[in-house]
Amino acid sequence: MSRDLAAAQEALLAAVIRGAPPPEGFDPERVRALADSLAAKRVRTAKRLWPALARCLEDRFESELRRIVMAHPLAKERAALLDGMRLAEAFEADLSSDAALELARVRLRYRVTAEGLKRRPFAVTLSARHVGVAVLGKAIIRAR
Amino acid sequence: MKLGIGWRHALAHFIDHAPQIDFVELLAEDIDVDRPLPLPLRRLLDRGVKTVVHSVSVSLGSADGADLDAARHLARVAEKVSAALVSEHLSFSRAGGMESGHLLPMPRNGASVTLLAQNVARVKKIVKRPLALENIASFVRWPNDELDEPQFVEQVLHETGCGLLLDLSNLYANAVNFSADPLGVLTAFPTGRVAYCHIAGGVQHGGLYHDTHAHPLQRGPLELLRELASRGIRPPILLERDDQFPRAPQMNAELSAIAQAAR
Repeated sequence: MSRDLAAAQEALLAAVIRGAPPPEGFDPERVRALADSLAAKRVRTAKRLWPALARCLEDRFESELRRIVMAHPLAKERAALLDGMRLAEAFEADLSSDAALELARVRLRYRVTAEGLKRRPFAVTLSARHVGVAVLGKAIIRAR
Repeated sequence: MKLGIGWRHALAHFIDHAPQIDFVELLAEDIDVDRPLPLPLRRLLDRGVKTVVHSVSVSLGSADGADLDAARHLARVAEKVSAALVSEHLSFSRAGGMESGHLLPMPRNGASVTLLAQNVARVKKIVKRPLALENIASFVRWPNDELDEPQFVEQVLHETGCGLLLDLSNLYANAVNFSADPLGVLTAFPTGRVAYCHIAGGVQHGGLYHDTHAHPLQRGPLELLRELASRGIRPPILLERDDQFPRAPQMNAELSAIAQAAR
């Protein structure tokens, strides 16, 4: 039973986070409504953490981020920050200076792992666009 | 009646200046136990405001087993703030190595009751504090449900020995979304085991009631609170707000409405 339940839970979860077909016996409209509401919640949360990116991408922020969240399961650590980071990287060549600085700050403070974003104990950045330093999650960064 | 509020960074200033607040609920996932607590929170604790710690990531209903790392984190946070009580949900949020970031329902049957009893027993050994279990809101139901929600909750509480975190807004949402009478469902709930209550705002959208924690408090959940009080049941009640934070006057108005309904 437990193995059957594990498989059934996995199928329901895949339907609501990846848009997989709903498991047999579930109301497909309700599963879709749930999936929509979860995607909207991830978009809302990421939008709060990436204000400059949201300003830069305007309407595309929501539509493109929805595509990204359906393609990537929720990370265990700092999921919303990682969702926004994936979006910022997809548009990296076209970012406004504010949005580019926002992305550079996140990259300076965190590294991407299988679990999500983990804080770097210490990091410096010296690129053509930015100069900055991060210590235990606190970062100072500016455009050059 | 004790009045509480979910502590959030965006509400820290408001809570610091809200003398009517008797207790706060911390989200375990918001606290980094290796760093000092946020200053406004330390000030509250110094003032003697009581805390409970709430978790959303232990996934007590996972057939693969609860997330014991999340349970250890919950225990460490509870220890750090000397919480008298911790709480989690009657749900799963993890399966096959994936996280939903959302509380999903379990099939309401005997097998789920047994599974929850096993997982809760493991988690209780780790948290070493009273654990209250919360009823969730969901748009979906399992096709193999054998129990109604009050029966399921009652059996789980009986098997686990836990108290109930009665979320009035979740109860209301499920009743409305599955065409049941909210007061009838409340009557059937094991309200004698309530440790504390949640209440939150929501919105009607697309034919469904969404328990958003981001909209104003609606009349339906408040009526349930009024009904509880009229039966002489006056547990501690806590307002949850997670997004689109209103200004202080609206927060105060919602807290007053709760206090009035619970009188």
